Amino acid sequence: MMNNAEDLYNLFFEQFLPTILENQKNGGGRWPMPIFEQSFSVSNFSAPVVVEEFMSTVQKLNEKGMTDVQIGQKYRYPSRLARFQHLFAGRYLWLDKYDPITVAHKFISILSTMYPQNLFCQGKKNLIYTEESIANEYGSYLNLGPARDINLEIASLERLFYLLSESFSPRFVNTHFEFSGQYKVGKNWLILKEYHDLQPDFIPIHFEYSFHTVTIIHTYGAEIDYQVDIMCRPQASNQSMPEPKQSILLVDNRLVNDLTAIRLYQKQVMATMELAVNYVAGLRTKEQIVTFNTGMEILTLLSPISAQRQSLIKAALENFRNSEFQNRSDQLNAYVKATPRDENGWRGIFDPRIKQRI
Amino acid sequence: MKIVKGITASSGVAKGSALVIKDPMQATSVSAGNYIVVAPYTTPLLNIILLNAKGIVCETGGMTTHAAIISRELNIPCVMSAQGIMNQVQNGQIVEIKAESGEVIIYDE
Repeated sequence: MMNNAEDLYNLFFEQFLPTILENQKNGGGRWPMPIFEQSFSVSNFSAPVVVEEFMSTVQKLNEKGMTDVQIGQKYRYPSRLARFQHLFAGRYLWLDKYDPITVAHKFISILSTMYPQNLFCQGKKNLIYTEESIANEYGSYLNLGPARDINLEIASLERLFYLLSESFSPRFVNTHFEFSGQYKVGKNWLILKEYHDLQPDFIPIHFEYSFHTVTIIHTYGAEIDYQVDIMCRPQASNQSMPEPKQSILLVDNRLVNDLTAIRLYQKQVMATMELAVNYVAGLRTKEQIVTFNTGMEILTLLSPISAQRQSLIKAALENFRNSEFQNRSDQLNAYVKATPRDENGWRGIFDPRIKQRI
Repeated sequence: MKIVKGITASSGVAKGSALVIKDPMQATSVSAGNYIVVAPYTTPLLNIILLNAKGIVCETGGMTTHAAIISRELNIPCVMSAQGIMNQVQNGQIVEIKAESGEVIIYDE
């Protein structure tokens, strides 16, 4: 059993760093996605705000007697919390308030509790539930039996949900989904695709549907080649997924197996996605972009009261308007830009234990 | 006819007119049609276009970049790291993806 925060962080970093290096292969790809970054690094302004809110919230919960396991349950989706790792790339901007190593140890202590089966997606297997809990939660739906016409419509709907999620949060595309599995339940292998927070408050558009969460369960008769990395990016070595034996759709935890209803959802999701893309594409000023990006980043935090969320956005905007902060942000950007894009370089950017020589 | 080779990210075959996107940071809309997206790379701002695409060809990137993941989710063929493609294809030109072999065939105008 590994329980030392430093050991845990080492193990986490072993899974995290390859996601950056693989993405950089062949000269393409960036994570987070470089949306809005033509002229400035938008995350710099929100990073100190997110770190402070994360640390103060966790401290308050610990003081109330809540364990890291219980706090992990509140965060619920590990890949969304795992993306806080990107905050360490901007540690130069907040290390006057928090020691990056202390933040890293707290972050990793909570995150590690969210993988009961396979710590940090080793081998690209995201097993965030036990097979017993999956059987209890979803086992009864397996008795419905396969229906190919339903399967195909759910597959179409699922494509739309994936694109919708990305349209809401184009920089951190796993903000609205967690994919996990495979879980063996009886003779079946299950992949679970959970879409959540589907009416995010940081994107002021009309949502054409009324639901907030969608779960899609795909069942297979045998284990398939399915991999998800720690940032919840699906990967497969054979380039195409086999057709599931059965697909099950739960909308706000209610089973939907009616073709008309599924097709209506497709239209609603498509219409909402267009509104979302057009909204994001219409962001013009840097202040609009900082506001939107901060809203996207703080969705992960345990700060449900909208007034509190507004104060976090205000704090990020104050950073943006502060010339001294702007100078430090520019210094950080210059440092990152000058850093070689190799393993050591990326380690220097992201590893909080390495001093950024700025 | 020219052939550019790249990396297979999602298998399949598709033929259509090239929709060349020079700036993937700008959301673009297009009416449905028989098109194959050709871009240096893709971003979520192109998702409405990608949803209706018959295939994707990117000049850069590998198996974990956005276009590769999206194409597998959409079940359409995709070739990544097709070097030089942006200089060789004009908007509207007919292209064919043979993803298993990582080939992109560019037909003469």
